[in-house]
Formats: sequence, structure tokens, C-alpha cells
Amino acid sequence: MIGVSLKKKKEMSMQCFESYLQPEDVYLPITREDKILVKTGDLVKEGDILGRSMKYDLPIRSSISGRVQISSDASYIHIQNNGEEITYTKKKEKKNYTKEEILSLLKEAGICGMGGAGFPTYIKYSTKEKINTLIVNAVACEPYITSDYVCILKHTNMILDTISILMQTFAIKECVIAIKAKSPLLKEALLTRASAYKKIKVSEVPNLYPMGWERALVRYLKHTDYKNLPIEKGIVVNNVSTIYAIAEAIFYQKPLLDRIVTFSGENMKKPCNVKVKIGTKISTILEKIGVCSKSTLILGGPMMGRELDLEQDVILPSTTSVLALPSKEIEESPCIRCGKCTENCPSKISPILIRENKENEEVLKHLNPEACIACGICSYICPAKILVKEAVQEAKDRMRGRKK
Amino acid sequence: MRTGPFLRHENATNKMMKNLFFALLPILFFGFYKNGIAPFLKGYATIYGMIYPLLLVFVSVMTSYVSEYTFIRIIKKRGKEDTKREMKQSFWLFPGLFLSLIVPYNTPLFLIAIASFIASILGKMLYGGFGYNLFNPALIGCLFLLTFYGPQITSMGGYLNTEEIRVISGATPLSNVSLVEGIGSYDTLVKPYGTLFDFFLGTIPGAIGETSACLCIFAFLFLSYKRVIKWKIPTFYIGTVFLLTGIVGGMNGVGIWYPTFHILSGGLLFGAIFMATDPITSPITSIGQVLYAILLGILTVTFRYLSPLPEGVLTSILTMNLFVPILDKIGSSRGNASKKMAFPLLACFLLAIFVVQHIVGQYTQTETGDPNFTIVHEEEDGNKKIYIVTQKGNGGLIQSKLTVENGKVLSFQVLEEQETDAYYQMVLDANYVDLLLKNQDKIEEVDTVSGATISSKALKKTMINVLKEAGVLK
Repeated sequence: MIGVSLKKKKEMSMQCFESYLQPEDVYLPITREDKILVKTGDLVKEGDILGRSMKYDLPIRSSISGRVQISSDASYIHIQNNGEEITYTKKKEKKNYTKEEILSLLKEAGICGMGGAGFPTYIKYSTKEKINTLIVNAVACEPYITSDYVCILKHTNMILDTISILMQTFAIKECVIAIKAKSPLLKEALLTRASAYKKIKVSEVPNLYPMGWERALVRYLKHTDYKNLPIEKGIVVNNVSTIYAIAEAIFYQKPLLDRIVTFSGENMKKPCNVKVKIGTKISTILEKIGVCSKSTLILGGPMMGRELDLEQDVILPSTTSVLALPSKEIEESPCIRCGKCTENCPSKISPILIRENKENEEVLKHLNPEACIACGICSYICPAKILVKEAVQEAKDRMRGRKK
Repeated sequence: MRTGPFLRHENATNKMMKNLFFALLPILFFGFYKNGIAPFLKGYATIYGMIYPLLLVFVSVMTSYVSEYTFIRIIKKRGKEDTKREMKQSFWLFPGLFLSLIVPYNTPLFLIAIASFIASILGKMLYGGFGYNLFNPALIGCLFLLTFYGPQITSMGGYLNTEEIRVISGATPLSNVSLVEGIGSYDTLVKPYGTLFDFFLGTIPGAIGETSACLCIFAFLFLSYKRVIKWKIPTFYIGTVFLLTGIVGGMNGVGIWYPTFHILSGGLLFGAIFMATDPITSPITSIGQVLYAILLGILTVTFRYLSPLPEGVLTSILTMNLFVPILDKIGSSRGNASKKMAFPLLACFLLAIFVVQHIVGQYTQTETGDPNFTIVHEEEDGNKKIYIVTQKGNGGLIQSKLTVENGKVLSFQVLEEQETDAYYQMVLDANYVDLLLKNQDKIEEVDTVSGATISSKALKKTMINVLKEAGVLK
């Protein structure tokens, strides 16, 4: 089992939950390829379709009601809130769904992976392969992040019912809900209720990073490996927050308009999980929560996230967390060739050798930088504090560029 | 834009180096006690003799400091502040400290200073400083010292401290190996120094840092737990030596004490734990480390049996330093681990078989004759027969002229010897040659001169071998 043990720091944000569902503005990023169906000045309601993203054919839906303004460079749609709310009520439960019904539901609700990758969920299920196993990823192996945990604790029954419906519809034989070892709250919540569902198993995975990585989960739980996608082995992996979004779509006919985001870190004045609308500017949420000065603001987890852009960044379906950590100067020193980056690399490549040869494509061919998943363990573990991951990513881009 | 990770592991280069230093402290204190305090308390050493081990370490370390400081300040032309900062990242302590722990105890202070200078400058700074050197700096310094001043230091007492020089015959356990018949026996290899437990404790002759097996093993456990050293290297290195010497021993019908003797003798444990694991000069990849260690083991065994170098650790490590890039290339290539390992492991296996076979072959031949004995010249003069022969002694070959008539040795004249003066004087004082001549009928029963066992034994062997040659003895 390859991985590193990190301080979890999860308890910080577990005690507080807030909703921030009426922001004054939302900004929905669009690209030039997208087909936009509204124009500046239009009045839209929450949930209305504003256009379609062409890449994956997903609807772009307004997360609040208000007046539309399309930015001059056509990079986002701005909606000014007029305060009108839509309430979604629970629909009558249907006994059986067809595959097509569920697929169209997933697609029209705009559901995509909420663990970080943002891949459309309907594509995962519209496969010719037989799906044997559904792995529900509730590991959240990065420190601080608890949005998935809160989601489970708040909506355990709905999540389990949804899994059950998915299994029935796609004739999935078994489901494994993967949680971190030593998370008693989650375990209890899931186990007491999951016992009613025969084919749903709750599995604890080791407290290691990057255990929540799809490939690591499949390796650990199913003892198998795949080339590109888990479906090659009849496996679909969904994040637990994604399952909840599916639940809302099935039971409330509600598209993906909001999500739970963890706001945490030592420099966050009031660490909290906040339910926020997609498209909310992150800086406006941070103003409410309060951030200490001299903070490093991070979008995503402390390992795989990136520096937050206060001007630009908005909440996306894939936004799991926003962190404020104390700023630290890191001084790089010469590599002592201790080999810790290689020893701990989950992709089993040699980061420091890739760094040394990052210009040399002939050597890089053998070192396989394409296998890097940017988990950041190499930079984390390095005693000389070298930015190893950056160099590997550079080499990876170089090799990818070469192939094209 | 900055990307993750925004967290850093608490481990840092300077913490690792601190732990390395802590691991060396008990070894240093033990060396001071064994070579300084204990001989002083027993009346063998003066006060100067008592602090000599510390002086050796101090001079070596200070020379490292001064050489590196001067190099950065003058050759690299850095300002005062920059030099200070670079020195902090240079870990100047280690070349000098390691060097002083592995050189012979009787190395004069000015020679350790030269060797330490060579270690720091030639072994490290000229490559670009800490993190860039190809070879282990301390070993470079030691190699220089032993190559150019080895015989001189040996004549001054070599590895023996003031106490051992008087009490023990005059050789370290490993230099003794080449003097005994065949691969040796428990009585000839271990007994002169006590029991294997003495080897474990470290109360045997050897370099300051190298004798105490238990402290080395303790350091290994500590450093592995703290993730400072690459634990695979010492494990596989020592394991390989144990296995190969075990096979050689087994084929010669000796017990498990034999491979144990080999791993506890000389600088193997210290070298495997501290020198072979030097991060900068050892492989990065796991597979590279395992192959590196196995090859080190095979090389060390080869050197110990088949070359004039009794020790083999220093030369093995410096040799293998050269192969680190190749081993890492194997270790970092695509494909799964077992596939990558298969061919190199097979090659190591075949190499090991070849080496062991060669050793066993060589040492079985010697059962018919003494490999340390050579007849240089042989002539007949009437009834007399004159032999000029050489026999391996402590410092080199002892050449003697013996005249035999009617099955009796008439004269025994030593023509040339390179023995340590102090020891040889003891042989002369005992009129040992006359004693041998007088008692040639019951030559096997003649005792060696205590305190100069090896030199006197060589003379006794000369006599026996000539008597055998003349057909008197069988």
C-alpha cells in the first residue's frame, strides 16, 4: 500500500454548517463553443436552462433567479439576483426506472463528478459494458475537507435509497461505500442504515493519502487495475456528493444548482461547511466567514488544490473546499537523493529523476512522467523542500505535447 | 499560479543530518572509551594517548570545516554572509567525522588533516558541494590515506591502540585472515580476540568507529525508524556477505560462527550502515538499492578472499558508487517490479556462484601446501642444500636463507623483513631463530613469542615448510 499519512484536521469544520443560498450575484463560466440561449437583459428563474455546454452536451442552468448579463468577452454569464426562490418539493416515488430515464435525468440535471474531476456522470453510466460494481467514494483523503462527510451525515437515507435505485436500474451486483478507517461517526451512520440494503457494503480504507484516488480505491477494494477507466473492469466510481446530487434529481426533480463546500484552515476565522449556489464568487463567501491576514488561500485540498484567485474564482460543481492556511516561506535546498519521492509515489515513477531529466525527452520516455496524477506527495515529502511535482508536471506536459 | 501541495512533511535535510549525528555519538563515545580511557586506566596510555582518539576526530572535523569554508570563500568568491549560509547547507561535519571513524588509530594528526582536506575538497566541493558528489567523500579521503601512507601507518601500529599493541599479536581480525591456513578455524580467527561476543561488543582491534557491532546495529535501527537511511542497503548488503561467506564456510565444513565472524569483522557493519547508505552516492529507486546492496556484498566477498585487500568494504562502495546511475536506470524504467528485477537478479546470482566457486576452488588447493610460502632459490652444495624462501609475515614477506644437511637445518638467517619494528625486536630479544634451530625435532611444539605472534609464527612456518621441503617432515 503506497501513500502517506497526513494530519487529518477534519474536526475543525465538522461542528458548523451554514447555508448561503441567496448571493447577490452568480457568475457561470462559459466557453465560446457553448450554445447560449439567453441574452443580456433577459429575466430567468432558478433552474432555467441558459445554454448548453457543447463539450459534453450538458445544460447550463441558472442557479438563482434574476437578470442576465453576458460578459463582453463571453467568458461568463452574470445573473443579478432578484430574490425569487423556487422550492422543489418531493415527487411521488416511482417503483421502477428505466436506464434511459435515469440517464436523461442525470444529463438534464447537469450532474457531474463533485469529488474534484467534474466528469459528467451520465457518460459513466451510458456504457455498453456491464457494470458489476459501484464504488461510492466517501474517503476525502485530503486534510481539512469534510464536505462529503457532512453530506453523508445529513442525507444518509436519501443517499442509500439512490444507490439502491441505481443498482436496480443498471443491474449492478454490489456496491461498496468506501470510508476512511477511524471515522466512527460516518461508520455508525452508514452501518446502522446500510444493513437494510443487502447489496451495499461499507468498507474502511487505510488512513492514507491518496487513498481517495480512483485507481487506489479500485486497487485496494477490488484488487485489480485498469488501463484508462475503471469501467474496463466493470466498475463505476462515484463521489458521495455526486450521489446526493443524483438523489435530489430523482426525488425532487432538482437540477445541480448548489453544493456543500468546506471552508476551513487555521486562518479561517470560523471554519464551516457551507451550502452555496454554483457560480457564487468565493470572495463574497470569504467576506462572511472572515480570513486572517497573511493567509495562503487555496481552492481545493491542501495537496491537490491551487492558489485561489479572489477576483475570478467562483463555486463550481467540483469545488470541494476553500482553505486559508498560514503563509509559510519555503526555502529550497540541494537534492540529497534520499529517494523518498520515489519510494512514496503512488504512480510508481521516479519524480526526482524526471526532474533531473525534464529537458531530455529520450530519457523521459523511459521515466513515464505521463503517469503522474499530481497528488503532490513528492513535493510534500521532500526533505530539501524541492518543488518536485511542478517539474514532473512540466515533463508530463512536454511529453504530452510531443505526442500531439 | 502556485499549485499544491501547500503542506510539507516536517522532515527536512537538516533534521536528517541531526539524527545521523545523534546515531554516531554513542559510537564516538565508545571509540573514545575503548581506545583512550580504557588503555589510560590500565596504564598503557599517557594522558595524550587518552585524548588521542578525540584529537583525531577533532583535527579531521576542523580540517573539513576550514577546507570547505576556504573553498566557498576563496574559490567560489562568496561574501561573508553567503558563505555562512552555504556552510549551513554544506553539512561540513560529516566527511571529517566519518573519515576519523574509519582510519587506522595510529594515523598521525597531520596525515588525518591531509586526508580530511582531500575528502572535503576532492571528494565533495570540486563536484559542486553537498548533494552533487559522485563518490563518498570520507571514503575518498580514506582511500588516499591508505594508498599513500598505509604501509607507514601500519609500521606505526596500524589499527591497534596503545593497549592492543602490547597485548594482542599485531593484526586486526581481518588482516589475520590472510595469515591463517585455508579459510581458518575458530581457534585461529576468533580466539585470539576473545569470543564472537567481543566482536559484537566491539572490544577488538579496528578503527575507532568500526568495531562495535552492537552500536552500529542500534544506529541502524534508530536511523531506519527515523527514515534517515535507506534501510534496504545495509540489510541486503550484510545479508549477501553473510550468505556467501556462509556457503564458503559450509563447503569448508565450518559452522555458522564463520559468516558471523565475517559480518562482525572490519568495517562491514559501519560501512554498510553509514557509508553505503550515504543518500547522495547511493541509488534512489528501491530496485536500484537492492541491486546495489547485493553487488556490494558480492564485491566485498570477492575482495576479501581473492585480492590482497583484507577489508574490501571501502573499495566495494567506491566501485559501486560508479554504477548508481545505471542501477537507477533499471529501477526507474517502465514495467512492473518483478519483471525489472528478474534479469539483474539472475545476473547477480550467477556472479555470486562464480565468485563462491572460485573462492572454494582456491582455498581447497591450499590444503596441499602453504600459500604464504614460496621458494625463491634452491641450490645444492655437496651434501648441503641451501634454500632461499619467503614467508608472509605481518608487514609483508620475510625472506630467509636456510641450510639443510642430513635432515637437519644447520643455519637459519633472516635476509629481509618488513615487520613492525616493535614486534620484530621482541622476536630478536627472544632469540627465537635459535630457539627454532635448537628445537627443530619437535618444531610443532615450539611456542610463538607472545606479543609478536604473527611475526614469530611466520618464522616458525618458514622452518616447518623448509623441513617439509627437505623431506624431513611430512
